[in-house]
Amino acid sequence: MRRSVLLPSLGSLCLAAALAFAPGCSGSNQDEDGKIVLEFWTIALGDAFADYINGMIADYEAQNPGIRVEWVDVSGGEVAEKFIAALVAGDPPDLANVYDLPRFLEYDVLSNLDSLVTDEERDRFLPGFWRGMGQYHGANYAIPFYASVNMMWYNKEIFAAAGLDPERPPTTMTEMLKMGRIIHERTGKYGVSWRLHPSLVGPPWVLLRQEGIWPLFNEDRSRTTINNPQALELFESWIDAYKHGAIPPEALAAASRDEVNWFIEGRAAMLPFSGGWITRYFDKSFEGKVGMTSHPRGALGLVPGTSQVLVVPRMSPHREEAVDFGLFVTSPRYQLEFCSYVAILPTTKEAAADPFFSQPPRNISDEANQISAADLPNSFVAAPPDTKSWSRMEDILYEEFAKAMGGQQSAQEALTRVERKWNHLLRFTAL
Amino acid sequence: MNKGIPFRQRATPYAFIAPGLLLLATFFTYPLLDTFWLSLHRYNIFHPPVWVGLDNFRRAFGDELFWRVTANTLLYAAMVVPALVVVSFILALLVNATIRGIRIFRTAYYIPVVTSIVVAGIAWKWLYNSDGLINALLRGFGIAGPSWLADTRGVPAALLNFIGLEVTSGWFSEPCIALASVAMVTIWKASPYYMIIYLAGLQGIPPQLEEAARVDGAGWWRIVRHITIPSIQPYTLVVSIIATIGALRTFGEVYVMTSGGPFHRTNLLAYYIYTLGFKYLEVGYAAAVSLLLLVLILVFAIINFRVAGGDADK
Repeated sequence: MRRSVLLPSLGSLCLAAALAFAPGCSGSNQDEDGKIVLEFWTIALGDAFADYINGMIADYEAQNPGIRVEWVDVSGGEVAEKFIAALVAGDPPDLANVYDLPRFLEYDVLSNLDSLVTDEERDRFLPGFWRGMGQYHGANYAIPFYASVNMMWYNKEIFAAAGLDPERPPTTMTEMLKMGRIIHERTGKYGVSWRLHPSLVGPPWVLLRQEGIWPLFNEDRSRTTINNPQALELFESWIDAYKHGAIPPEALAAASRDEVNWFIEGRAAMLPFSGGWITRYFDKSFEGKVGMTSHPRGALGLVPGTSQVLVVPRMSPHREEAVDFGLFVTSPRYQLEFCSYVAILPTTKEAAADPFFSQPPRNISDEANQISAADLPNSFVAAPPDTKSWSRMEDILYEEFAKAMGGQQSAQEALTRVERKWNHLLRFTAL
Repeated sequence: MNKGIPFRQRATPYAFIAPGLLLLATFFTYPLLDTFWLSLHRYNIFHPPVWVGLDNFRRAFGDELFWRVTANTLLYAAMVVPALVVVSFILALLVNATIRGIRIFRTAYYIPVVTSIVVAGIAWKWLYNSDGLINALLRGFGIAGPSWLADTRGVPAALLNFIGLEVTSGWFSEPCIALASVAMVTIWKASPYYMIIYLAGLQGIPPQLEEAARVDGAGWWRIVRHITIPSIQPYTLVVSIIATIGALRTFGEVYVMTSGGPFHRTNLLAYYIYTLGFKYLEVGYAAAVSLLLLVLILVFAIINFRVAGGDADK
């Protein structure tokens, strides 16, 4: 009888102990040999790049015998949430590839790299990318890992069916929307594969920036300047394009990567998007239909680009070592090696100037990457404004723009409402 | 009363239920109390919580978007729950038949329940596309279908429009086509689950009752109306309560299919809480809205219980 009472109770205690101590079981900061342990997170590189990452880590450990690097590969959809959870648990990685930076920048949980990186090391990077995704109030909080610059994918078959010359894709944003309308009128297909909801590239605020309608706030970030005639003209052109079928109706309620799917499914003729990595979703027959060119220009004359970044949490006990490893990972040699495995672009000057990017392409992915690479000097990093509550502001912009596209209000009403709501938020989150 | 029973014997049942209680306390009571505590604070995860009393609740009551999302959620439940009760009951009647190969039908009908909402959501998105399969079928009948997940016209207005009546009144603007389309997916996915509950109820009805009714000359419909439906009333109560709770907590369909768009017309409370907590990191406010959702669920569970006669024994 005694046994029957004790066993369940003991089981409960064990379970409680396991639950209570589970979060604290992750690695310590030094191993049994006294080496510093750096935890390094990447996003969805998996087995495909394991040799590359492990080789790089082995090289670094050989050069730095007092350091051991633990590599953790996190799946893409969860990295921001896992990073938050690790920060809250007080056990974050020392160096991590994360996205959705504005909220981390806003809450001051990342190390300011300007004080941890020398001028010489900083000068290695393409300037736009060093002061890019991780810029917040004049300081930089992220090491640019690798880059992508937008280009234009288009379906030659749909172009031909619409009576357009498949060898003459659009060169400006205005021309792209105009061709989109023609394509819809003549083929029933949609012109431009674009979605309004937060997308990897090309959200409304990037469209504004491409047209030179930037910055969106006054100098002390107390008021927005978005409600102006140029922004109105841009909004009206996109609303008009939407209403005339240049953009799929689902653009207002689409989710992640839908725009890529619509293009590959042959629903839409043009995809202004990033480089060669999407070719992994093409089959042979689709590759034969695809045309590639540089991204259409807006008034600014520049092309949007973006970069994956490495960050060092402020609470990492080995920030200097983590930054040193981050600079090693992004050194020209390893960037070039990474670029030879996958269609990405480097963020350092030396790697970007390498003849690798002008060699004859081995496949469609290389070809796309070279088109992107050619525009590296003509690109701007599509980093969101470093304003508090930007996530909310971005959603307000989408909502009001969507209402205008859906015919619920005019473009001017949308801009006026965005201005009012943004100013309200700015008042309450005054710096 | 327990004086004569030794302590060990009295303690035994508590020891047996201790693991269950511990799990309940860890995964239900503690999170609930913690949510309540968080709801009284302004908390962004990264910095220590700041006490704000009932401010988060006041903020919710003054938050235009909270009310819009709550209205969406109620409208959604109003579409989904009655449909689930009716559809799953009809499905249960069909698969209760004693015909050859009926088990294959039961299994086939159950497939949506075990299908991941991500997979189902993506498949339905393809079907719902403006140039998807549904609209291709409609085109065969000469009907131009809408863009199901992006169309914010009211279903009644669209139907009246279809038969040639132009309406402008706001009365016909809800529910919108996008929300009704999302609701359809929930109904498709959840009805086989409730079908199984009804099936258990149908198989518990004594066959003599139906036989006696048949002898007295009752047809199929009269048997269903006067014997089957009253006999499975407790099951209807269970189905309506679980379906209501499920509908009010719907998240996956919105997350996968619409992200709450277009312009929040398909945004439901669970998705709004997720956005507040994980996107805006307004954890205190998200906790307050979660508690308001809990109250809403409790209120509707009690209403269901009363309406369906769950307290009839009293």
